[in-house]
Amino acid sequence: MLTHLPRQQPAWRPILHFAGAMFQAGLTDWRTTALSLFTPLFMLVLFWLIGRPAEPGDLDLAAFIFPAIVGLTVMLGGQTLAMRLVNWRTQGVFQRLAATPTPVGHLVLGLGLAQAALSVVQAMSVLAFGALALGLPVNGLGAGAALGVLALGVSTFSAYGLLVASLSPKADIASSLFIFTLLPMFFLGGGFPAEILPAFLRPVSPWLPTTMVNTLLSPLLATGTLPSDPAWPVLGLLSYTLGLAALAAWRFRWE
Amino acid sequence: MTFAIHVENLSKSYGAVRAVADLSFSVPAGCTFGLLGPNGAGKSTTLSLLQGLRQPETGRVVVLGLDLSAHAAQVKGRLGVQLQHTSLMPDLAALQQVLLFARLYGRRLNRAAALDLLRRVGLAEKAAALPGQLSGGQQQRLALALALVNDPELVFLDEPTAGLDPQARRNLWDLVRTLRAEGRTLVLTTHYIEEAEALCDQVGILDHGRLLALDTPAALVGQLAAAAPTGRAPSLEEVFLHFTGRAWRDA
Ligand SMILES: Nc1ncnc2c1ncn2[C@@H]1O[C@H](COP(=O)(O)OP(=O)(O)O)[C@@H](O)[C@H]1O
Ligand SMILES: [Mg+2]
Repeated sequence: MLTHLPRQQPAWRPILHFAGAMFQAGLTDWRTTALSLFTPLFMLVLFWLIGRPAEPGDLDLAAFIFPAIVGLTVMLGGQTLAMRLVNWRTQGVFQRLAATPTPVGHLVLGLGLAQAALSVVQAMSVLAFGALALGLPVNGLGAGAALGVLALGVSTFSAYGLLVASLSPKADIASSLFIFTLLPMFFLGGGFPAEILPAFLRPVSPWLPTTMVNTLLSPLLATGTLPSDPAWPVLGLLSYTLGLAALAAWRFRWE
Repeated sequence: MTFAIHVENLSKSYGAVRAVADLSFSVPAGCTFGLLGPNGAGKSTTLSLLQGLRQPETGRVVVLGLDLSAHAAQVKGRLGVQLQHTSLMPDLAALQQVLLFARLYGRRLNRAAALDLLRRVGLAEKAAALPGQLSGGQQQRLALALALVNDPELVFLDEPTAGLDPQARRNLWDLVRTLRAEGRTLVLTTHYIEEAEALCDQVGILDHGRLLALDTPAALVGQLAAAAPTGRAPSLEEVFLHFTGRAWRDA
């Protein structure tokens, strides 16, 4: 009845197959995918409406915040990931997956890859929307290079989503925990001009992963250049990714 | 005789609840084995220990000739698993689920083979449906199809007919008999006595995590007839109540 190939296979194959299927599932569940696009698009349009410079020379708030919102789009992918993982745990999906010979950790990785790919596609859509529909300035070459930064950012915030999922008993708790920790980090990390932040908070900014994403993304999108010292944010994001993933793996329960 | 399952002194607790208590039994290869017991008896927990989903506190489990504690992944690849609380991937169509699960077992089904499998459980027309678009019984049948994607030697069905309509139940019985005729070992749990009688070569009666009796359905009936003669042959249901008592059980 069944036809199949030999079963010996490298570990990455089921990971990639699972990621492919989950990417497809993300498209099938287009409501969730569209909903997570809503927040960044809404913010972008809002700043565009209220933040256009009144006179030449004023700060163009929409143009200023545009790269940060593109970055925010990949960060929000971690929230979707966290909710999906908690749902799988509470609904017993993991239980069935754990009965297969593919290790659960590989499946989580596959799901993370799929969500990361979706988030990067979403971020590029926000970028295209801002440039084409709102006429915000984007450096074409920098937009291509931004893919690398978005990939790095999505890894960090997927790892954070994983940690949030490990700590949350319910999906709505995971969702709130993620968003209410992300938003302050977002506004301290480049979402708002540093000058309007209270002085006592400014020293925190350079240490935030949101700042690191924005430090890389802003000059790339505006002028197609990297910051003068790109090593600090790149290494910072890599360290965050590894640290958060390790913490999450330690706390993770599929049941 | 070769055994598909051999269990010695198996125990598992959840906090203060002793779900499985010092269980020892064997299931011969090719046999259809029924675990019969009221709600909360420990049937699902026992299965999860045999499937390598949970670690026992004490005891040894040998499945398909391999010690489960040392060879869990290898054993899992040869098992078919239908869990009691069906848990399908939410956003994948039925056919996609079959193809994906085959991959997770290191197998590769082509579309035709996957459709064949869906046809086997009466879901060929639902190949494109998402789990949310399937009825409870249909979801259960999809879970059953997923239990067969890897051509398993040993198939676990946890209350496979709970919530099925009479047609679906009879079809499932036929499928169980076909799987048995193909030489597979089956372990199923149920609290429908007639189901155990119709399908199982051997029946274990489980309550409070303990095995109270284990034999062929006919032998169990015979034992009770000898122990409590009533002048007529008792039913397997009477055997069941004899062992498990008549107190109410919680779900
Ligand atoms: N995940 C769990 N956490 C805590 N207690 C559990 C869990 N699963 C089952 N139990 C308890 O263990 C006992 C056996 O449950 P179970 O194996 O599901 O029985 P059955 O499948 O025979 O109905 C019950 O008392 C049940 O309440
Ligand atoms: Mg049960």
